[in-house]
Amino acid sequence: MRSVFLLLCLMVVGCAAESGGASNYQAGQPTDAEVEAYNATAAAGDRIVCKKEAPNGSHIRRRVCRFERNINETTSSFHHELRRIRSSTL
Amino acid sequence: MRFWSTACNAVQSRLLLGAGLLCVSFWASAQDNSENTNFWLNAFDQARSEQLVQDGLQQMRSGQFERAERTFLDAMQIAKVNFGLNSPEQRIPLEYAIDAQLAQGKWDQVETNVSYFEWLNDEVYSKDFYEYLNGTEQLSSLLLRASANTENPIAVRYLIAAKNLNWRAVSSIEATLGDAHPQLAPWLYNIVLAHYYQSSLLKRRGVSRHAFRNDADEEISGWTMNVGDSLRISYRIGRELLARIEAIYMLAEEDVPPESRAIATLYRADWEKLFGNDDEALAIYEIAYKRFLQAGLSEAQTNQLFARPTVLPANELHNSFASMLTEQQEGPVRFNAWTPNYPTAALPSERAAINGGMGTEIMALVRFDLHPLLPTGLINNNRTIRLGFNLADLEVLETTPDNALIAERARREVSLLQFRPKLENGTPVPLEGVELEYRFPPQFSVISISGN
Repeated sequence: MRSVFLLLCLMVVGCAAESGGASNYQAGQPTDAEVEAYNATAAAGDRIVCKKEAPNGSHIRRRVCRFERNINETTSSFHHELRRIRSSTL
Repeated sequence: MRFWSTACNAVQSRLLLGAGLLCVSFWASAQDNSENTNFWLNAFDQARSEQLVQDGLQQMRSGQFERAERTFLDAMQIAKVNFGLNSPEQRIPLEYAIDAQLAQGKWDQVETNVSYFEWLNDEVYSKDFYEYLNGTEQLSSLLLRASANTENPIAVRYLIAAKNLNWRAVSSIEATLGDAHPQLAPWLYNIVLAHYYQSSLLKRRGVSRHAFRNDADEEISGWTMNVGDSLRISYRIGRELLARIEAIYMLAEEDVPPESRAIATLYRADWEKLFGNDDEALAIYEIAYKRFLQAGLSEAQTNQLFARPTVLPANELHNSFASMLTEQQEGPVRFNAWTPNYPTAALPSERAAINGGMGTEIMALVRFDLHPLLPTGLINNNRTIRLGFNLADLEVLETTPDNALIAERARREVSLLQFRPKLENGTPVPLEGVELEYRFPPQFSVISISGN
């Protein structure tokens, strides 16, 4: 019973930390202002995009920052892979 | 030898013919355009450039925007001939030329000339850092003016460009003067204001996505995140930058007036208030009040700062008690609405004002009370009550022109404004019978009032 209660507490704390506005940044990550300052002088592709995503195996969204070019590369490689799977199943 | 003399004769006759043609063409052009008769003679006369700028301004005032544009571009050419291809002296006539193009809705030309302005300014950077900052300020106002124009299809793009320009100024100050220099503060505050305008645009009904072109000239969506996320980011950036301004003033204790830090704290409280965090705002207002006293201001002086209602956000970052008091004029509080694009935003500066043409000025005089909702009423129920500073008993005293639709719209617009609460000894108190003169933005017409 006690362990169930502790588990519930942990879940509540986890969700609160996720939705809270004040401590939005994880250690080592750039703040929104830092990202914006960097993007103001960066060329297209070199800009950083930060958004909240739920990683595989979790429903808790975390702030993830990536270079635009990495997002584009990942997206195109996913598309390529999807096309390959589709064509191989036909 | 004979061949040589024949060749010389041929060259001579061609030269004579060329010179003759040149004279005829100059004569013809002089006959055709009496205004430009002496232009080619005065290409090195800088006074002529200044005269042309004055003529252009006169033409702008009388609504001859196309003619004014040509005049300003002529003035810019003279500056270019006099001072060199990348001379900063071109920036003044160029700014006016862009203004004339904005008034005509020539968006493509605006874009080209804005890029040219930016290039000119970048050229100045290595030669004169402060001149670069002046040019950046000039360009930033220009971009804000372009973003305020309701007819501009890519208004948001200009707002973002203005914000990025301020970030670049911040980076250059950090690189030249250090990352805790007080000169950073006004530029950081400009970015805070840009985020407020962005939020104001996002909150406007029906506006959640904007399309604009990227560097490769492809049309893309300006915002890829939802309105809520975008608002939260703007709020966080504003809060972070205001905290940074506070830290800068704290570190530069000897270079700025002692009350600077308290003023920065006050602006931070304003930011919380603007984003609906009234509890947080009240707590920070109290801290600001205490800091004013710690900085050496008397209670009477501090109360004086909070005595008159201030529409939020403040347009300018003050850093002294004296400059804050200068802004508080006698009579009704005046609010010059900037543009229908950014409802609730006051005109940031005369330079950012959009050219409204020859229309009639629309204004309304209103009266209302400001009531802090103190948690006294429901305390017996043991309930937590959110504190708020609400506008009550709003009445329209008069409108110009006298029109019931204007009165109705004024009531709505004023009710959307947010005010810094009146504090006495650190505690919010009601303020009754506040009079406010609300000037509608230039592109706001009675037709648009009836249309909404």
